[in-house]
Amino acid sequence: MTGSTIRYTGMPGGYLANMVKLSTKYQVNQSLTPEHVIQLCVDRGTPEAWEEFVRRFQPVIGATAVKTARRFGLNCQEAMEDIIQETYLKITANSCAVLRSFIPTREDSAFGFMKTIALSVATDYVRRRVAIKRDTGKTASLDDLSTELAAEPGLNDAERNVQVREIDEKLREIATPRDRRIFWLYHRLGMTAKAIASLPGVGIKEKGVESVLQRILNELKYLLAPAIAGGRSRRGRS
Amino acid sequence: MEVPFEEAAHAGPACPSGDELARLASGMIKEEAAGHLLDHIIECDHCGPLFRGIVDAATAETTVEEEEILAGLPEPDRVREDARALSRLSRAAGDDQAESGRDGLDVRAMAPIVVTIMAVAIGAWTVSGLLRTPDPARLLATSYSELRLIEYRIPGASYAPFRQKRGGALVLPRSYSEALVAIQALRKKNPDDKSVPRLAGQADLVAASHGAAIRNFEQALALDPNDREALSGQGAAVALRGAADDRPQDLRTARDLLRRSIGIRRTPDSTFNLALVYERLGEYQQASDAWSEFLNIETDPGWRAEAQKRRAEMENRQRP
Repeated sequence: MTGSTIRYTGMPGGYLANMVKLSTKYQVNQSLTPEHVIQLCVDRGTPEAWEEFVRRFQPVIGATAVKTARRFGLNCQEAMEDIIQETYLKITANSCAVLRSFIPTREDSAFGFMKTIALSVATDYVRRRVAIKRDTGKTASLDDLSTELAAEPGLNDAERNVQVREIDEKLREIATPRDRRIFWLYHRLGMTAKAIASLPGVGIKEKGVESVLQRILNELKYLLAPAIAGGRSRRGRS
Repeated sequence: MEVPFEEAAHAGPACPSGDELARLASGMIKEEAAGHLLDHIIECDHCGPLFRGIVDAATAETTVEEEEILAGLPEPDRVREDARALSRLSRAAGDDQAESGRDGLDVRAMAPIVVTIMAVAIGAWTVSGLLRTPDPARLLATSYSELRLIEYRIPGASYAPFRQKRGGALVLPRSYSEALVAIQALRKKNPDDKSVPRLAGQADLVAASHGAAIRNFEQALALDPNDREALSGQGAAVALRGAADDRPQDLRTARDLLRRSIGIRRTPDSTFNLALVYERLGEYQQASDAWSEFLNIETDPGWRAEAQKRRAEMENRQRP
């Protein structure tokens, strides 16, 4: 799709900006801000107001829907249509209660708001349709962690759970709650430092997250070395 | 990037809602609340991978493939039709309020709602806005006969010739929108009402939306595995999917579902649907027999005429 681009800013908390390409087929009424469009739909609810609403926000709602569907292995076209429709129904329910709760905080915050609504609908949609399974990404991340700590990778589930518990016990001693979250978001969920930095409550940039991770790792290596050596000895491995 | 999975982990009572996770992923949540949520997420086998997936969906650039899918969104001239539907929904009164000309909207003079492919995936609800709550099953049967977009039948519908759905906007009659409103009213009155997902599935069938119908009938059968109408409806929906996606296994599954429905109680609609499925499977003798059984119990001349024509065709096919 080519055409004009609308850049919408991130939400409070340092959320990364994203680009949404608005197709030229959706010609918008440039005299109205997105916030005005929302207000018109709430106040008047005329077909013309909603027509403008769909033109403005359909791309961001659709993009959220299709990206979520792909990441969870759903039929993209069908899931996208379902999520879009459910999003509009959520928006219009109870005389547009959701829209009435919208408070603009910065320029283009309306797009972020719509994206969050679509993401909420998409999350519930995924939960209803997909068996959320244990994450191989998590397992791989923990294997990497074992390597970093000079422990053994490729442990079975029981051994891994013991190792995770030992690490977590140490973490609670040496790290703040925030740093402990950063550590496990990285090593257990496999999130990138960039994604972690974008979350509320983290409060530091990507480089800061990387520093936290390296610092904690270094401390854990020192603290866990005796336990790891003992474990190897019990298993008869050098 | 697709999030890889292994064994299943289910949501527990302590797991946050989709709304909370979405607001966290989007940065639209207070820091203190964020901390509590993250503490749960890093320890929960269900929420962890789910959250990672939605963060990725929220932050990643749209790929070329995803852009192509998005290109299938409605054309601008259909946007107007969607807008009318949204205008209607946004002005519907909440809960038990009646919609009676507020803001100049005259319910009685309301034109049929025009929907596009976006709203054809029915599995959703509208807010009740009528002065009374008529029988949704009767309304669905009426709208089925006004449309008849599928060959398969739903209970109680009068005969109408089959009209294959074509491209372009689908015009759904007023009886259909009233049926949706009535279903929603039922759900609000009693969230545990077992008939609601079955009725929703039948609404999906009327609009020829087999994917959504299958999901709703699955819910209905989870509540009551011996719901005869849900079995019959699911049979029809699965058969439609089998034809749409060229999946012979679906037709066999549909046959089994319809047989189960008939085993509980034989009705004209389930017998009719079973005969159609036999035809699709190429089991002409069984189809012919099913048409004969149907003709023994159906009195409506329109349905009888269609069945007789089909039975004759099955007999022709069996001739060497």
